Amino acid sequence: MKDIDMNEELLIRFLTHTCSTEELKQVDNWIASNKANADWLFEMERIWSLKDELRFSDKQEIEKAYRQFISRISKKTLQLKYRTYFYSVLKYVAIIVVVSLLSINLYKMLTPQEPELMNEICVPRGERANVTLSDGTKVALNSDTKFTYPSHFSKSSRNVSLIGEGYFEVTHNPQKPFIVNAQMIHVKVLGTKFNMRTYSGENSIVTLSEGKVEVESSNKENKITLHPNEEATYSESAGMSISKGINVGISKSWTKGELAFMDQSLSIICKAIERKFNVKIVIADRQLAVDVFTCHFKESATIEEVMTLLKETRKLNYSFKEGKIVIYKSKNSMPMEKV
Amino acid sequence: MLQLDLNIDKIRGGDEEAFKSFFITFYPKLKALACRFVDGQVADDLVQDVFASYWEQKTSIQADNIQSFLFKCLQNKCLNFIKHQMVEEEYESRVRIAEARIAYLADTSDANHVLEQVMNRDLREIIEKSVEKLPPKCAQAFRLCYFHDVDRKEVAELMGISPRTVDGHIQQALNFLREDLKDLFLLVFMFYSTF
Repeated sequence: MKDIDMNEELLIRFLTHTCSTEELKQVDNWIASNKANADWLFEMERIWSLKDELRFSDKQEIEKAYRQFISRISKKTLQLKYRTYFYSVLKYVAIIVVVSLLSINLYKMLTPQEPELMNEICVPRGERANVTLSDGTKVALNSDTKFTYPSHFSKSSRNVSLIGEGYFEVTHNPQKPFIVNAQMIHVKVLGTKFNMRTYSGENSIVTLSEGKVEVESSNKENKITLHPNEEATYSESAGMSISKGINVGISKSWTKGELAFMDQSLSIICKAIERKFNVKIVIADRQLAVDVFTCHFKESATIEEVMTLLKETRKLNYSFKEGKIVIYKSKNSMPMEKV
Repeated sequence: MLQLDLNIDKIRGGDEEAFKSFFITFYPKLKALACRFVDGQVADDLVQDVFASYWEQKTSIQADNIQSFLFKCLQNKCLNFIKHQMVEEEYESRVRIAEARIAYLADTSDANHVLEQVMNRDLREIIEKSVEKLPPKCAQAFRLCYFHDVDRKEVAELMGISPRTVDGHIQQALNFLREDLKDLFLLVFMFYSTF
């Protein structure tokens, strides 16, 4: 049943997720060739994963995950509460209107305050949007972004939330801090201009062009203050780091519909291209995905032009396949003439 | 089972305490399942997603469908994640392995979740008992790797043997556990089906 293809080393590599591409193919072929092989392998895997289950049964680990979950859904529940509150207020108002037919004074006295209603903007891939908030703050929103904000801010602070990328020009008001909540970080400002990128599954990045902002991770473990031309990068695994001397123009080039990157990995660049042109890109080479590129595309550039330009670096080639763009390593690695 | 049903009604009513014990029950299982498909950090996100979808749909899901809802939802999310990864060279094998895994889980899941509920508490004890029956060297290598998460190369160094031998021990241990626990799987299942 178990034949030459599967040995202990390969099994252990498979269980510990350390297979090479070639080995994964071997495993795939081996289990596809015989159902008994598949059953055997997945039974082994099941026993192996009991170990994870034991580990994840750790109380502290569960507590941490639960807190994370609660903070994630609490925003939504809050919105719901506002909504039900809104309807109960409506009922109340209706009664008051009836009463007011009898006594206008009474109506005036009992009019309840307007509740804080939340608005949500979802910008699809391939689009951008601009919004001006009730305090005069201007926000530009990049593709594939969800932005939530109240119609009117509360008395003490200005709270909004962002998943995706936005460029903020916040109206100065020292009495009411402006707070952007994202999944991994919070940014607190009084009045500044900054770019914030928080796509899920990617590092969260805040780049400051004017003023001063405070960046804090959601788990409250990291907190830093940014000055102009500085950039904070946060990921749960690597924590918070800060880079100085950043060209803010590049970070916010998307607000003009341009694409600009300086020493960025190809995988990050491709994610931005995917969002801007609403396409799907696959990088067929692990090494290529982490290679860095510097490039700048004008607003009018089409996807074909962007791909052609990337190709001219002679590091890569591409093809359109089943509605996807596949990027692979250029075979003729000729010396670069010009970029 | 009765206890679980009771809690579900409370969760539907929005009781947070009830939801928390529900979370505590399912989190380790779901995360362990996700870790078979994807890496830890991603697994974490996907499990959170699953709980969020459950929370949103809690009033419309039938109590007896909850297990399968959670597991299927998670499997789909894992598969989708793998399908959307950008590295293509191993794309096909990863997707195919994941699909084979889902097929395997569908075949065995009925017996499985009854077992999982019963075993949650004594899981470690039960495995430990089986490990004790192994030859000493084999048990030692397996314990280090399995319970203490020591890398196989370090295990080799610690024990003064080659990594290849460590792998051999681990496979031997897993094969043995598979046989040893099989009876138990079957027993538990029969015990339950007679009621």
